[in-house]
Amino acid sequence: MVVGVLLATGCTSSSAELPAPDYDDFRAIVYPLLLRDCGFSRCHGDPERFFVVWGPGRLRLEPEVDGPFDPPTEDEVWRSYQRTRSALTHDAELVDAPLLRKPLEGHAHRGRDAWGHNLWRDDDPRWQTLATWAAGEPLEPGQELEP
Amino acid sequence: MSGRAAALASAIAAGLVALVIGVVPLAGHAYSSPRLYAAPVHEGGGAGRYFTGSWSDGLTCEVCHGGGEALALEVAGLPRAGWAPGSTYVLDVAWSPGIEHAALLAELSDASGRAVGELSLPPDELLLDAERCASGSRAATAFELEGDRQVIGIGDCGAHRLRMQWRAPDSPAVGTVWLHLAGVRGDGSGDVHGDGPVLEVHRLEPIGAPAPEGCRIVEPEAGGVGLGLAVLFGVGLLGSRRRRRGATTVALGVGLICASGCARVQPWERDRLAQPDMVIDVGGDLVVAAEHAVEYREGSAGAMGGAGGGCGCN
Repeated sequence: MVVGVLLATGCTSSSAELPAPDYDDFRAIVYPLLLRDCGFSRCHGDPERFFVVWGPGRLRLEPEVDGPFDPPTEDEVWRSYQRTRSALTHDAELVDAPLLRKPLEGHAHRGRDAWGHNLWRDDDPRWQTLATWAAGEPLEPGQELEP
Repeated sequence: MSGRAAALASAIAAGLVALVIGVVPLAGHAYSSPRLYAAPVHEGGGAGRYFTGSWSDGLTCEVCHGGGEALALEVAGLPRAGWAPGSTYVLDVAWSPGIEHAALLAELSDASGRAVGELSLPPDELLLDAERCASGSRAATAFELEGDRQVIGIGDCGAHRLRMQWRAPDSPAVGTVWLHLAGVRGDGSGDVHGDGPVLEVHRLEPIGAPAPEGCRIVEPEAGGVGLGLAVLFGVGLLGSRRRRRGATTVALGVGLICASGCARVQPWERDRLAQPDMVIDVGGDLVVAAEHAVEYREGSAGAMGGAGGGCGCN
């Protein structure tokens, strides 16, 4: 009966799009980038946040099992990918998705640095890498984050 | 080995293991070693982020650490009156020896984030005990980074002092130099919660930087313009009834001065000009020179504040 009521209310699907960018590129290039610039304990390494990345030296998915500096587990990478996908949800333009819009100057993002600057600018290679990946375009080899 | 001896050996071994675990700091989530900042993210490192808060890396320790009492630093040796080109300074940063867990990063840079001058650490033979880890080894490490950066770091090893020798650039044209000191006071839990981050930014200006002038032209404000016009109008009216030419000249002068927005530089803006020894004493030889010039040009004398004399001033 509950299901019937729900169906009868005419719950229509949202016009929002949920991208599904390449997972291999995420694992190799995007995930390290997000860990480095976003996954801090008081930022997007905080499990209370909507957008979270898990990984070594930061938030661990299973801290009782994994040491703080053990390599990232497959579950951590996969969960981080899903959360990243969800932050790419957008109505009209992909660039309006929170993951791409919020880190840029002039947008609401508490990740301002000591100089009051937001994380990236749209001409920053790191943001461009993220935007290219989010658009479903393959990333070039060699765009991996250098250690 | 007899049963008793075996049991004794096991107990001793267990005790040694417990001793090691108790003495060796746990590798917590925090970067207890500065070398982790350069490690790849897949190893839990910072991948080149040092969190000094400098222009090149605006993020600080606060992105991870928080909830505890901030690390209190005592900083000495800074050239607060201005750094002299080519001079050498010993920058001394210390914190209480009672703080068991603390780490510090230091970076000197210009406005573009590049290293400025030459920064070096004391040689081993000149290190003080406070500059050594509990193990006796040197606590500070210097890192040469991409982008012409240099960072000095001390990990959580028991040290509580950092001295750095800084040789200033040879030219004051480098301009403002920024000393960033980013540190964390740990609570010993091994994670980032309950730690106290701190960021101290010291701005060092070069000696010889242009001092502000006594009166500078600022953007004309509506108030200044309005006042100028009012004076101009009022005195112009007055002058129409009396000595029009003289009064109008005065009105024009006053009006222009007000309208130009010439603002008085406040004492705290005058830098070294505010110091008593920079006040110009108008008198003595200066007045004599002016008097002589008038005598020579006009063939007259006097009318310099005393009664009588002058050329049509009354």
